[in-house]
Amino acid sequence: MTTSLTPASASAPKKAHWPSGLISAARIAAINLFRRNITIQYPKQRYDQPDRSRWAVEQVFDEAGMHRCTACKICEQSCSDKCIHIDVETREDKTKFIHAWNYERAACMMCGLCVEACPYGAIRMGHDYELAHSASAEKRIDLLREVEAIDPRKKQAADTQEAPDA
Amino acid sequence: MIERARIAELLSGASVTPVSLEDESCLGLVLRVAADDLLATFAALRDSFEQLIDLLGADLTPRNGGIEVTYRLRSLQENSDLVVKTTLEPGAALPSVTGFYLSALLPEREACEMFGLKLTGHPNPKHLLLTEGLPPMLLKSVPLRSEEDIQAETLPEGDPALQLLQEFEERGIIPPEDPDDPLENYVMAEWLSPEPPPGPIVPRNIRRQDDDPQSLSTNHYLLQIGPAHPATHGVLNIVAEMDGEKIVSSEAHVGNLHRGIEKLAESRRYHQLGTLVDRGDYVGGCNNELAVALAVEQLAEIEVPDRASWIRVLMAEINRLASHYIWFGPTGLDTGAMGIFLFCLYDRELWLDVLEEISGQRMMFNYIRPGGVVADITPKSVQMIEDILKIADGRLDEHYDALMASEIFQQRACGVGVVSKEDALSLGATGFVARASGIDWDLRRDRPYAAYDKMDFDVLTADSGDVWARMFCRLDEMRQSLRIVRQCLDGMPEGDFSAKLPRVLRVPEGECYVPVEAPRGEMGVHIYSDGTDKPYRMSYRPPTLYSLMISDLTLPGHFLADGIVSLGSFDFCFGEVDR
Amino acid sequence: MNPWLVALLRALLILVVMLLNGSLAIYMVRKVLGHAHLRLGPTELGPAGIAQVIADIVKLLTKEDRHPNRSDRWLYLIAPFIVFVPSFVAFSFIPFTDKLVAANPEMSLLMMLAFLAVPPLGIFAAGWSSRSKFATIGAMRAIGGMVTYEIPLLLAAIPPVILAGSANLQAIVLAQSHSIWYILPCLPSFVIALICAQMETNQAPFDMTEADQELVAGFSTEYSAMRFGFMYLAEFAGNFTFAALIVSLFLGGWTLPGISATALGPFAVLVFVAKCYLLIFLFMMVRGTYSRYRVDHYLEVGWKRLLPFSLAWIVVFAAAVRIIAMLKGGA
Repeated sequence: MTTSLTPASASAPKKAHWPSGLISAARIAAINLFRRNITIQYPKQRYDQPDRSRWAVEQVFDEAGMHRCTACKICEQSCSDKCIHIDVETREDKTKFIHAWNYERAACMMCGLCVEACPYGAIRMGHDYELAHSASAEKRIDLLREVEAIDPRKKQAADTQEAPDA
Repeated sequence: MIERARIAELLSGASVTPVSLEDESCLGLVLRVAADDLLATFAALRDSFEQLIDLLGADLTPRNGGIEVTYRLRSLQENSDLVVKTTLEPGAALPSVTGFYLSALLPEREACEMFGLKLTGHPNPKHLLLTEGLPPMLLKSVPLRSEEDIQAETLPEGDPALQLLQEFEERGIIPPEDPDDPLENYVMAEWLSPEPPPGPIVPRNIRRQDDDPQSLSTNHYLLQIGPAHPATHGVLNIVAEMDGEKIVSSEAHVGNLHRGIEKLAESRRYHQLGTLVDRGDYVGGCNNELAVALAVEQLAEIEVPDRASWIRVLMAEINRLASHYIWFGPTGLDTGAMGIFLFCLYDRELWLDVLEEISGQRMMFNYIRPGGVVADITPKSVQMIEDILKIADGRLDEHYDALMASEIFQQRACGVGVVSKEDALSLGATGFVARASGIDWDLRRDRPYAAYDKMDFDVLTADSGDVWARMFCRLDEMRQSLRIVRQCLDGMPEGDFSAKLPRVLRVPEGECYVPVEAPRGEMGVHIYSDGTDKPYRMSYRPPTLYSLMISDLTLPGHFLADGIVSLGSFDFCFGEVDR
Repeated sequence: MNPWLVALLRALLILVVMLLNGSLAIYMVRKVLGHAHLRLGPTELGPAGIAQVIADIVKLLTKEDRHPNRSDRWLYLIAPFIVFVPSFVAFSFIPFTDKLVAANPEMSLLMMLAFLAVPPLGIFAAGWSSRSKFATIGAMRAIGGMVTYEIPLLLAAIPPVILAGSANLQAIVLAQSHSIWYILPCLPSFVIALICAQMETNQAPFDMTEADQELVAGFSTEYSAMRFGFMYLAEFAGNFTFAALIVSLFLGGWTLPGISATALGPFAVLVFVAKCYLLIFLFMMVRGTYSRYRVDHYLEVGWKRLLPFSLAWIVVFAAAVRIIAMLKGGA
C-alpha cells in the first residue's frame, strides 16, 4: 500500500503480509460463529419500544372513555402533508360537534408535529407499528365519529376545580 | 480571508465592472455581475478560488428580479467563500462555467431545467432530474399540483407519450423483436422527447472508440447498470459502454427519486423543513436537520442554549456513526464479503436504538429544530451510549480485521477508483472524498458550528485517493466520532434544550447559506426568506451530487467489478442527489 | 437380476442420494452462513427450519418457467442439463464404503475428473444462450475461471495416485487405511485441491461467475423455476462431490486410522459423510467471510501461481518418494 496518512493516528493500516490478512479475517469469522445471534424473532418476540417512539396518531381517552379533542384544528394546520381532516359543525351557541376526525394513516409520516402542536393533549403518537392493511378503506380512518367536541372553557374550569384535590 | 479589495483588483484586471460587491449580512461577500460578464469574472477568479461549491437558481420574478443564479466559490487556503450572483430574464441563456470549474456539470443542468433557462457551452445540456417536456418546476408561476389535478389530467392528442402508450397497449407490452428497432436502444429520458431521433440512440456522453487496426477489436456494447440493481445503492442508472469487462465510457442517469423537496419547502413552515431534509440524505438525517436549523437561526438571529448545541453535536455524531456503518457493510458486501455486512448492521442497530430512545424514530428523526432540540436526552439513553462506547472501539478493530486487513480486499480496493487532488478540487469534492485525495478540509474544524469548537478530534487525510484511502478515512472518522460522543457525554452543560420560540416563526427577510459536515461531505442549505412564516426558496446542496460527478469521470477505464466497488466507496445517497 | 435393471436401480439410488445431499447442503449453507453472521437462518418451517428446503423445492417446481424471447431456444433449454447430468455421473464414482460405490472402473479418479470438467461448459452455455448482457459476462467469467482451475485440481490429485499406485478411488482409500492419510505427506496438494474446489463450486472468494452485486445472478439471471433449480441443485451437489473427492484422496475416505473395515461395519458410511460435511462446512465458512477475487486476479492466481506451483510440487514429491524408496530399499 502506498497510502500515506496524516495525521499518523494510532490506527494506521498494518501492511498485510500474505496470508496474515486472510488469517485475521478468518479469526473474526470464527469469533462471530460462536457469538449469540442478534435476531428478534418477530412475531414471536417483539422489542421494547422507548416511550418517545412515534408511530400512528391515536386519540387520548381518559378513564371514563372520554376524548379530549376540542376541534380547534391546530393539528390539522400543523400537519405537513395534510393528513388530518376534521369535519366540524359549529352551532349557534359556539359549541362544536365533530362529525369525523379523519386521519389518513397511510400518508402520515409520523413526524409528531400534530401531537406537539395540540394544546390539550388530545392526541398522542401511538406505539402500534403493525399498520399493514389489505383493504384500501383502512388507509383513511376516522379516529372520532359523531361526538361532541370538548368545550375548552368548560375544560379549563374543570381543571381548576380539580386542582385543589390534586 | 480574501478581502474585498483583492476581488475588486482581480475584476478590474479582467476589465469587468461588477453590478455590486458588498458584504451582505448573512451571506458574507457577494459579487453581483451581469450575465454577459459571467465568464470573464470566472476567468479572473479561477486562480484564487479552488472550488465551486454550490450553484443554485432562484425565481425572483415576483419581486421584479428575474431569475437569480448564485455561485459559491471557495478558497480553501484562505478559508473564505465568495458568492457570485447574476440575474437573467426568464428563458434566457445561461453560459456554462464548466470550462472553469467542472463541478458545475450537473448543478447547471438542474438549475436550467428547474428555472427554464437555456444552457449554452455545456457538454451535455440534458435535463437532470425531470423528464424532458415537463415545465420548469421551481418557477413561482408553476404551481404544485394536487393528486386530483394529476389524475384528472389527460394527455393531448398527438402527444408522443400517448402514442407510445397506445403502441404498447396494442403490442400487449411485449418488447419488439427486431434488434435493429430504434426503440430497443432508447434510454428512458429520450422516450418523451418531441421528435424521436432516427436510428439507435446512444446517450450523448458516450463516445464510440475508433477501432484500432493493430489490436484485436471487439464490439462495444451498452450495459445498463441499474436502476434496479443489487449494488447501485439506490436508484442510480449508469449507462455504460463496455468493451468486454472494461467500462469505456459511462453516463449516470439520476432523477428516479426526485420528490420535489425544494418546491415543497416553499409551502412548509420553518419548523416543518426538518421533515423534508430528513428525507434527503435519509441515513444522516440529523446533520441535515442541523443545517436547516442553523440557517433559520442565523436568519432570525435566534440564540441557542449551550446544552442544545451539545445535544445537537451528540446526535449528529451518533448519526454519523450509524450512517458510516450502513456504508461500510454494503461496501464490503459489494466485494463479496457477506459477513461484514451483518456485523456492521448489528453495531448500527445499537446506535439506532439510542437514536430511537432520544428522538422517537430510527431514521426520520425530526428532532433538531430551529431554536434547539425537541426534547432533552433521557438518562436511559446516556446509559445506553455508555454501554456501547465500552465495546465500540474494539468492534471497529474487528471490522477492520474482517474486511480491510484481508489481502483479497486490498487487491480489490487499492489503486481502484483513484481521484487525483486536482480532480477532487475542480469537481467540488468535500468531506471524506476530498480528504482521501489529500485536501485537508473538515467543516467541523475549519468552520465550527454548534459545539464543535469545544470538541477535540483529529482529521485524517490520505494521499492516494483510491477506494482504500476513502474507506480508511471514513473508518478513522468513525473512531473520531466515538471520541466526540465520549466528550459530549462527559462535558454536557446543564440548561435548556431549546430556546423559546413562537408557535409560528416568522423570519425576517434575508438570505443565508449554512454548510455542515454531513457523513457524505458538505451538506449546505441556502435559504431565501421573505418575512413570512414560509421560506421563499430553500436549496439543498447535496454532497453526493458532486461525488457522482467525480465517479462519472473516473469510472471509465475500470473493470465492471472495480466500477461497482468504486461506486460503493463514494457512498451515494439518492435521496439527496435527486431530492 | 437383469444387469440393466441393476444399473438403472443404482442410477436412481445415486440420483436420490445426490438430491438429498443437495437439499441438505442447501439447508446447511443457510444455517451455517446464518450463524456465522449473527443470525439464525431458516427457523419457521419444520423443526429448526428443515422443511424450508422442501418448501423451496416445491416453489421452484410450481413456478412459471419463462424463457426470454431472444434466447437461443434449444441451447437455453438443455444448458441446465449439461450442468446437472455430468455432476450426477461424477457422483456415481464416489466410494461411500468398500462395497457402496455405484461405479468402480479401473481409472475412476480420472473419469470423475473428466465428468467434472463438463459443467463449466454447461454454465457457459446457460449464460451465452440467455442473450442477456449480465448473463454473458457471467458466462465469460465462468469459462475463464472454471477451466483454469481444473488443471491444478488434476495435478493436485497426482501425488495421492503416486503414493497409492492406482488411479482408482477405492484403491486410494484402501491404501490410506494401510498407511497414513495422504493429507500429511501431500499437504500442498490438499490446499490446492481445496482452492480449486472452492472455484469449481462457484463460491466466494471465487464466485465472480454469479457475483450478485455486479451481475444480478450471473449466468442464471434469465432462468426461473426448475431449470434454475437444476443448476442450483447441481451447484450444491457439486459441493458434496468435490468434498467427497478430497476426502477420498486426502482424508482416508470412509476409513478411520487403526480401525479395520470390518470393525467399522455400517458406520463407515457415517464416517465418510461426516468427513465430507466437515469439508463442506469449511467451504461455507470461507464463502461467508472473504471478498471476491476480481477476474484478472483469480486468473492470475490460477495460471501464474497455482499451476507452476503444482507442477513443481509434483516433481519434488515424486523425487522425494523415489529417494525414500531407494533409501529404504538400500538400507
